[in-house]
Amino acid sequence: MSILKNLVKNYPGLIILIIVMIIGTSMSPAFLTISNISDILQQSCENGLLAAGMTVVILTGGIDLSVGSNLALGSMVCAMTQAYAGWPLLASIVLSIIVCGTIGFINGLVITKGNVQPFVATLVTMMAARALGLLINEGRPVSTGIPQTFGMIVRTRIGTLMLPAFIWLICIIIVHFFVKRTSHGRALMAVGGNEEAARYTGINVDRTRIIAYTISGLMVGVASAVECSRLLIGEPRTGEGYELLAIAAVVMGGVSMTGGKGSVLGTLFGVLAVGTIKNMLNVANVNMHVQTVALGVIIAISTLIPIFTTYLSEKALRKNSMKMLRN
Amino acid sequence: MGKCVLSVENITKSFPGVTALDNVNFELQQGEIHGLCGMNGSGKSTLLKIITGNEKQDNGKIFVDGNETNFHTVLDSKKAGINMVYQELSLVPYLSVAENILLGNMPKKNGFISYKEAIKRSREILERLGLHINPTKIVEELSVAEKQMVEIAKALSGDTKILLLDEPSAVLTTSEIKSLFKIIKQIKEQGVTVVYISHRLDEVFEICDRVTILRDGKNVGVYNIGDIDVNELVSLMIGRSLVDFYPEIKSYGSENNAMEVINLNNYRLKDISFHVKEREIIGIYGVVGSGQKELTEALFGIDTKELKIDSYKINGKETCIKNPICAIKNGLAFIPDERKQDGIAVSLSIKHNAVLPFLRKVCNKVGFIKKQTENEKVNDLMKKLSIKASNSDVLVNNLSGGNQQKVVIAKWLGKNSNIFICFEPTRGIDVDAKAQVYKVLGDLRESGASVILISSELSEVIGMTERLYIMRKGEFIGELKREEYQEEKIVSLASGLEV
Amino acid sequence: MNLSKSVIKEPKSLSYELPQTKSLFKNTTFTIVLAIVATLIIGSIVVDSFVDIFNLSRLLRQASILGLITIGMTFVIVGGNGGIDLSVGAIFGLCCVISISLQSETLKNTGSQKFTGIEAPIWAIFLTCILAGALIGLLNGIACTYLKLPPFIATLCMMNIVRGAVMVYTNGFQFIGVRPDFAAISNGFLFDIIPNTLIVLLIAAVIAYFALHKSSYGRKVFAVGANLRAAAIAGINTKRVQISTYVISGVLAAIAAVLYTSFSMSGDPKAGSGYEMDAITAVLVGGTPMIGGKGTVAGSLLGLLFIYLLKNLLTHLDINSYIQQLLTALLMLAVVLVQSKSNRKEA
Repeated sequence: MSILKNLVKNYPGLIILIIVMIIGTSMSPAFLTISNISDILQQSCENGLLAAGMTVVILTGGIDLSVGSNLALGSMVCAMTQAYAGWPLLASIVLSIIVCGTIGFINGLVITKGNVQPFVATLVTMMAARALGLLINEGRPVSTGIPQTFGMIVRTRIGTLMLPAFIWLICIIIVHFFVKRTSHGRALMAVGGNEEAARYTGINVDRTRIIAYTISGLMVGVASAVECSRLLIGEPRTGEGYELLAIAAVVMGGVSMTGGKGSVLGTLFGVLAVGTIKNMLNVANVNMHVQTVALGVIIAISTLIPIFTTYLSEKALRKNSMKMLRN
Repeated sequence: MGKCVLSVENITKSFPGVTALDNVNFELQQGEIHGLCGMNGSGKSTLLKIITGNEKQDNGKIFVDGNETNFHTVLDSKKAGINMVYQELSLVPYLSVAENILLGNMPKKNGFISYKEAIKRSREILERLGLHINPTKIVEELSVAEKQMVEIAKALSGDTKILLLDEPSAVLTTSEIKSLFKIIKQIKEQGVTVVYISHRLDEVFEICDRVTILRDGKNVGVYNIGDIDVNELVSLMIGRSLVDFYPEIKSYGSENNAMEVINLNNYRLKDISFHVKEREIIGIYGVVGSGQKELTEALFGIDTKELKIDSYKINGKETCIKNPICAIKNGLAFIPDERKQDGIAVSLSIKHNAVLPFLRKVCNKVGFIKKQTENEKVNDLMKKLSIKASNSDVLVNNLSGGNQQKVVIAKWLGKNSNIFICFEPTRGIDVDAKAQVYKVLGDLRESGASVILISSELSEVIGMTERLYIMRKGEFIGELKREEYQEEKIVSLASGLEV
Repeated sequence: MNLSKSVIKEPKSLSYELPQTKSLFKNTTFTIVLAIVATLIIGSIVVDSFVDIFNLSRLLRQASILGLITIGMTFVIVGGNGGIDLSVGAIFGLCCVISISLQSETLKNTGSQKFTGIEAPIWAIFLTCILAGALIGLLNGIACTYLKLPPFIATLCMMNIVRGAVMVYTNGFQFIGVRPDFAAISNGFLFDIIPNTLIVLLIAAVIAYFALHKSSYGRKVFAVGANLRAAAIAGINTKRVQISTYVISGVLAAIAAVLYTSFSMSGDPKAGSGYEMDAITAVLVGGTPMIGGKGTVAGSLLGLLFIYLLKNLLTHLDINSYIQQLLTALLMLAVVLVQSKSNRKEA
């Protein structure tokens, strides 16, 4: 029983996923098929990568609102270098990752050395990255010129699954490993959990935060390459609302918005949960705008749950104090 | 006589307006449990801050194992083997016990963290202390006592030679304190030197080998515990107050109760009952951590969680104080201990801060501020309280601590409150301002108000109040009338000594 | 005991007061006015007819609409504690659709598929939208205070919910066609030169100025933003104050939307997209820090004016609109960095 309790507490995303899958199966027989599940895994690639980076940032007690615009910028870089400058595939991808990672790095700098609140800083970089992405091709998308071979990446199959499914799963596992098994990763948890305590043990708080935002940027970079490959277009106006979807996955994955609590593995389940919900809504032919409404409601509820459970546990602590006082 | 592991010589440290430490010597011998006692303002916390590298002394030297050292940061003092367990726990809540103990120093295998090794190592550390806490448990799930044990384990995880424990028993029950003492004795056996800082003199006598007493920034004595008795200790702590500027009490209080509380209970307070008459100043004395903060917040409606009061009467009428708005409506005023957090908004001007409780008085019917009325009222308050500023538009941030506190008081003067709950009202302000605050409180009393002075500063409760309640561990344990005031008796009661 | 001063060797007590460094340049309002004047001067030199009264008049007609939203955002941000309203754009879109939907006759004539069958007089249209804006603002405020959601999450979710709902109702399509009397609201000019929308903005600005800077309510907003706990202890109903700022923001967004519908003569569910960012930029540039407790209505509006003038100038100079966007973002970055530096000094 306590294993189950532990599971619910640490991986609420898994529970949500199971519930959603049950609902989905009952709604339609086509739901629990291999092809549908593969679909979900493949479609979750971008969100999975963004959510992985977002987890790292939120664990430090911050937030990254720039991921959507950053992704647009990255995909423009990827598209333009191939279509206009004839760059080889690998070089384009690497450049996208570097560009997006740099935006992440700048976020980290502004927040630490500039002493700006995370949501303000990333709000500003969100605007700047969006403007930059539009600027480099004068507002036009890159609609032709990307070699077909690039598009093949995303369509390569390994077994029944296409590459994107593996890309994000592997990346998220790497990030999870980083957070769990390296001292920089543990520093992230410490800084988000109790910054003073972290500082007292010699952890470089600023550097930890910069690393977090840079990782987020790098993840965005990978996602931008995937998106470019998927659509074979560089679209500067893409990415709208991506940050909200990523935050939804993270919150559902049990990561606390106040920092220091949660795991990247939890986010993995959160991503699957979000992806499954989206899939369900699509399969049920739910209007895309209703989906937007649903997204807003889901995030609000998901954020409320930990607030409520904290309230309950504090109340329990007080009741305990009272009992001890009277003994 | 063991070898000397730490010695500070002729340490002097001053802050604006006050000399915190005046030529203090302090030395520790290897493997002893050394008590450090002193009243509020004795310089205890400053001495600790200097030893742990949080502050730098103005004059004087620090010797560790006989070598002169300089601490520039906390990390320096940690490297020298000095570790402190603070009153506010510094654990990372959602990491495991093992991770907290080894934070910043996790064992690695091939460059990656090895949890197996971490659990093993932390288990060793815990077992060495005789603790049976599961190292894989998340700290958040531990009891307060267990958290404290983890803190101690954490402090001992490196090469700690000297462990400083600051009021460790403040949050513990009696049986937990027994466990704590067992652990301290274990630590001693391993050769670590322990400094036990506490107001609970009964505990000091039980666990310590030697004790140093600070008073008014000076070291007034170092004794073997066997060579001194309780009364001598208390008198050394109290000494003769250096400042005697409390207002004279000119008239008798009235017979009516301004406030009457019967059986106030919450998660930190048990069966608190007291009353204060109109035109009376009472005191509630207790050491830091005795529940004073919780009491003030309960009375003023700031923290009403789990609050149950049998009877709370103001001017004879039964009231229910659910929040500060209720409290203020009933004529209550609150002067908090931490003015920058609770008393004033530092980025606003004197005027903007002062008028908050009585905005309606300076507005017209539509709600607009009558500039002239406002200026007059605020200037009048500034004059009454001698707030030194060129005008009322000065930002409160630019005022001295004493003047800031006066702005806090001005708020309530302007509101014509008649029951003043003052919690450590003179903390952190200079002597002149202290005198002025006392004068104001005295004047308020003369004009018919009631003042409840809740403080851990002995001289001010003795000097200011007509009646005194003594508080300890969330309960009132005694009531004394002015004629019965006896410093030693009060301190002993509050410190848990048998009287 | 007597009131006597002690005779001890204590160092002289320091009842001091730091000198107030209020150099004119540190006054942010002055800086913006300077920036505006500089832009006008540079503009008039570099561009023909930049300071043309008709150019400015048209610019102001449009800017006034965003100006209303900026005023609302100022209240929310001054109220502090993370206060921000990302849902204003969505409320704007909602009210655009509402106001055109209440003019069914015209809609029917333009072949619209959806109409409510209601033909409402202008005052009723305003009232309905104001109520809608107020309601959403109320929900935002409750989420941020009673439910303790971080404001940017609460208003971000609200934005999605409202925008999504409006898109569902309209299926993404614009409604076209308003009554002539309705269209006259925003398309008219007083004395042939002053746009009506500007008049509305000025009235709102004056009311807002008195509310925020000259009334007891305004004092409470600043107090809550500067130190929530101290304000609560001083007897202020902080929840009520915070909720009221969101209601004000919602109401102003609603009024702005009605004006915009009149101006554009269409009800576009996508209207207002990005307006929240524009408003936040204006407020920041205008000298109101994100942490709250400080700021001015005038500053925010001047900040907006400056941004509009700057954009107008850059457009006349044929500078790419995307470069403009980038410059705006960089300007915001600079402002935010400078603000946090000066906040650090004060703390």
